[in-house]
Amino acid sequence: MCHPDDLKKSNATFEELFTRKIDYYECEVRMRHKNGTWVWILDRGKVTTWTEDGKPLLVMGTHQDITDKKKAEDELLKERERLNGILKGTISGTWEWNLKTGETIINERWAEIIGYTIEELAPVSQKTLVDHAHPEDLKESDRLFEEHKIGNTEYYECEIRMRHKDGRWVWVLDRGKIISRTEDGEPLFAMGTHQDITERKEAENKLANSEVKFRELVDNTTDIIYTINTDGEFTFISNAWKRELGHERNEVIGKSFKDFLHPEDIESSYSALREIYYSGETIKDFEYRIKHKDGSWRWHRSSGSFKKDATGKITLFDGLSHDITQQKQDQAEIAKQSSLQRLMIQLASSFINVPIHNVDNAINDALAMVGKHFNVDRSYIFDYHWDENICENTYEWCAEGITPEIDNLKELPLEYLPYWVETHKKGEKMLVSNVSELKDQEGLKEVLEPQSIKSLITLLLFMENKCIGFVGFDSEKNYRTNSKSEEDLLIVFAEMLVNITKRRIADEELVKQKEKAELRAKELKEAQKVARVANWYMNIESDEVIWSEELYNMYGFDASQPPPPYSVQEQIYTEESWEILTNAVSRAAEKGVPYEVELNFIRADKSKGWMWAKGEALRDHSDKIVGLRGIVQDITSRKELELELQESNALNEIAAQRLKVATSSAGLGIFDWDIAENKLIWDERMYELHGLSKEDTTLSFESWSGCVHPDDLNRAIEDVNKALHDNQEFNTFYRVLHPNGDELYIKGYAHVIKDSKGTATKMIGVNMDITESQIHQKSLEFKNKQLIDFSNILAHNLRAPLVNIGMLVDLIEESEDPDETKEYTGQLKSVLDHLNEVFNELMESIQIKQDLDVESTEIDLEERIEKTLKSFRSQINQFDAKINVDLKAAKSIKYPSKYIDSILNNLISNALKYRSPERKPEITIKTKKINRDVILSITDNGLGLDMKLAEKNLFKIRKVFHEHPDAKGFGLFLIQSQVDAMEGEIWVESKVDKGSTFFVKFKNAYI
Amino acid sequence: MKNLPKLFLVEDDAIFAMLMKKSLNKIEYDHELTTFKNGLEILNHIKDNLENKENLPEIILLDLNMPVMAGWQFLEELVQIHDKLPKKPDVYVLSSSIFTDDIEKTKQFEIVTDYLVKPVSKDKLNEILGEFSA
Repeated sequence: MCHPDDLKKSNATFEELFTRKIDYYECEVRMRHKNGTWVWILDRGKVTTWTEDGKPLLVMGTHQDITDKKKAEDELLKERERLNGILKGTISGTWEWNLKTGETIINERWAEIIGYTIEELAPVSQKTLVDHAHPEDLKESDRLFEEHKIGNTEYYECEIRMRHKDGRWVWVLDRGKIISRTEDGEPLFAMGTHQDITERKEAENKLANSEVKFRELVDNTTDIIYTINTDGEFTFISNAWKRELGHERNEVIGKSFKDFLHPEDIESSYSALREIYYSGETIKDFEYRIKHKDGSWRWHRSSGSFKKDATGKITLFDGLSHDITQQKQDQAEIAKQSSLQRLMIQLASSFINVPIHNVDNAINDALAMVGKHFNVDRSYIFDYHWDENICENTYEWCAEGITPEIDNLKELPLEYLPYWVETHKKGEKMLVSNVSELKDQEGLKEVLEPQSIKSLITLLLFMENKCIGFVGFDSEKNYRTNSKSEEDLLIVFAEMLVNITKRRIADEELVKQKEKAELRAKELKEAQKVARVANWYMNIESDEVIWSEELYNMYGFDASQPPPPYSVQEQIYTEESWEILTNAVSRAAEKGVPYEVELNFIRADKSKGWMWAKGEALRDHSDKIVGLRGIVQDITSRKELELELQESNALNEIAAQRLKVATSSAGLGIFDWDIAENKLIWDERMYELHGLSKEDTTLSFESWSGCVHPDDLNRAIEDVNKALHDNQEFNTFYRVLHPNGDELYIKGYAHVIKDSKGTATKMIGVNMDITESQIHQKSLEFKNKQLIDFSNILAHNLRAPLVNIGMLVDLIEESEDPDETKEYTGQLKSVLDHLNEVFNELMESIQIKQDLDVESTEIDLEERIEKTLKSFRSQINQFDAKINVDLKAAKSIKYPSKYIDSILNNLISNALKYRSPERKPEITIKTKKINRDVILSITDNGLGLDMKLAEKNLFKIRKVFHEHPDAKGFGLFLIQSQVDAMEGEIWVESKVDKGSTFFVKFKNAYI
Repeated sequence: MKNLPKLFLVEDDAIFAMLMKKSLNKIEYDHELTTFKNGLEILNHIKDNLENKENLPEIILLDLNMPVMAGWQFLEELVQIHDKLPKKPDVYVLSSSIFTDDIEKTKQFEIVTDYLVKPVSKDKLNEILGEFSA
């Protein structure tokens, strides 16, 4: 039953048990399952009884199915292999081959090595390799893979030539491994890599060629034959010396061998010579660098022997040397190539799977690795910040004895190195093998030389087609050039740096998202705490209860104690709530009916709170109810608000009743305005006050504003707004014009109700009729004004002539000159005349004030105006005045006829009296109707008034504004009194030397 | 009586102006009394002579009730140009009114020295003129 592969292993284990006398074994074997598949078994056993001769007699053991573990291990291995593949993918092509199906997968690099893209090679199969490989190498490759297949080699490895797209042969190192097999051991899956080794191959071939050349040289005696004496001086050199090293013979003979040797090679050369001397034989060659006349060093390989004279004393060394410089260089190149490959693998493995927090270290390590390999003095990375127009040094490695520059190279403006940046912008690398040979390229030399940089190379870092920076290598000590393969490595290195940066960005994004998610989870937890939500569970059978922490907080219980069992929870609820809860719980426990209740609970400190509780039954698999679970929310504050509201509603009801009684007896109207809905509710009295029919049941704000007198509307609306928005008390009054012409004065008080946000939702108030008191007040005001007018008249207009009379009488009394006395007496008479005039005027105005209730009759304005104009006919003719009359708006009015005559007479008289001497007078008389009022205007083109001077006193008695002999200051005073008496208004608009317009408003005079 | 101050009378009542002149003669005021018929006339005179100090008065006697520009308006205008005056005159309101409102209103003008009720006694006139020369 055991898998043949594992049988050996198993037998060996047993063998050991017998021979090595151990009493415990462990072995993993595959065994055939009944269904035909193989299962992995961990077979463990222990010897329990031994025979007398020490052989195991009875073994007891266990079999454990570890198939799953094995599978996992296989998966892991496969994954690791895949990873390995990816690792090599950064520098090598990879392939995966399903041997069963022939399905083959290659990567971009595989195709690239032979100059194609994957798309160009599609469809890819094993035939793709066969088609491109050299037939000779293919045979060898097949043989080697067969060897691996049968298990003779751990890896398959073969160097094959492949035909490049451009026709040349490319050497590829093809490596691979079968990584999985079918259950019956047949190979299933192989993975491998292709690596371009053309350069290395070519170098090897070159070496082979140079050795051929060497032979030829030897044949052509290009070897130098030389002799050195015991003092180390040349005594003979062959002609070949000059050919090979350029010196004339006399430049060499008599000089020491040491003088031509490279200082580093003197020690090794002399020790080789000593060895030859002591061994007395011509032994192995020794190699050294020797000076060419042109100053360069040539590698030579020498061999030779010491010559003895007749006495056996050593006198000379005969040597033969030849140039091996080419050979040496080729060897160095090969060494470099393989060391490059090693470096690549090292770099790739240091970058793959580096934890994100170690990226900085990995990059620094890599810079050091590459820097050391290339024997440069400094390697570094710069980031370009194109948007800020700067670049900066982010990583740096320095060889020993080289001063770090990183801190001096932060936030460098790009203008600093225009040529440099331009080159990079074009996507080109920057290669300077000798700074001193630089032409003055936009100051690059000036920047590099002071830093004592001799050579440098920089390569671009590209991410998403954007140059994000560059990696560079400086040499301060030596001038150096880089081979193509070295440059290729650096390009790969740059790509690796970009990849790791990409990975870091992706990883950081991941970390950020993770942090965000964590924060959200924390917020949710906080939110639950704030929302005061808790949950609980109850086991019906055991009476056991589990509470979440928040529930302890709600009850104010100690969370370290177990919660009270349900049966004793009675104490934590009010009697009423406990009844509700027990009913709900028993229904849920018995019939599985879920519940939702509000409960009044008692906290540990005896204070009470409200909770909303939701519960439901929990059933086991046999559908039996085994427990209850639910959630609870603390609703104390909401509940308290609700209760408060209910209470206040009840109080409001009583208050409303009381108010009704109070208002009906006081004749108050009550209104209730819902602002959001714009719904206005009036009681009966309100309809009466506003003169609206009770049939109008759907009232709004506009129903009310339509009733308000237009002159008061703006002020009233402003008062409403102030009450709604500015927290001002609503206390206003306005007039209402009833359809029957009555005018009512309404006083309004109101209270504004606001919601929690401070928005006004309702306005509730009362209105009352204050017409009577208003009329009373108006008449009081009027009388008071009259009194003031009288005082003024008495003080100025009556007292002034009296003062004059008094003074004149004094003078007359004192005077002894009869002429003088006569003069004073004449003046006394004119003062008395004046006094008389004033007195009469005063009487006239008093007359107006006495007949306040002068009767209004219907007056034909046209007829009245005509009559007045007739009385001024002689003046009109004399001044050639033009009179326009336009009474379209109102022809007749209701007004006391006596007053109309007085108004017309005075205003027309003024218009003629204060005419301009420069113009013919033109007078326009017009009427206008506003609501039920009529406005009469009389416009002239006369002298006009300086309103600044006239405004205050224009209509006062004895105020004159023109130095006109007829100006007395009485006319306007008189008509003002008459207009006032009828609750009208009089005003003037005027401009000096343009003319004046007098307006008289006849209140409610329209018929 | 050589150094008596220059005196301006603002008065529309010709008879009273004549009577004032007589009163001043009696107390031997030998300057010519300059009379203006209303506020506007004296205001224009003052404005025209802001640079000519010698044409400006030391004392103004001002009636309240006048045509064109009454006393109050003149006082308001005078306040406006008071700072520009090279010589600040003593202003006396000289009115027939014994109405308290007028007296109270006068007190609001700081530039007014006193409120005098017509008629003005000789003693009072002497006091005004003397107070100035002292």
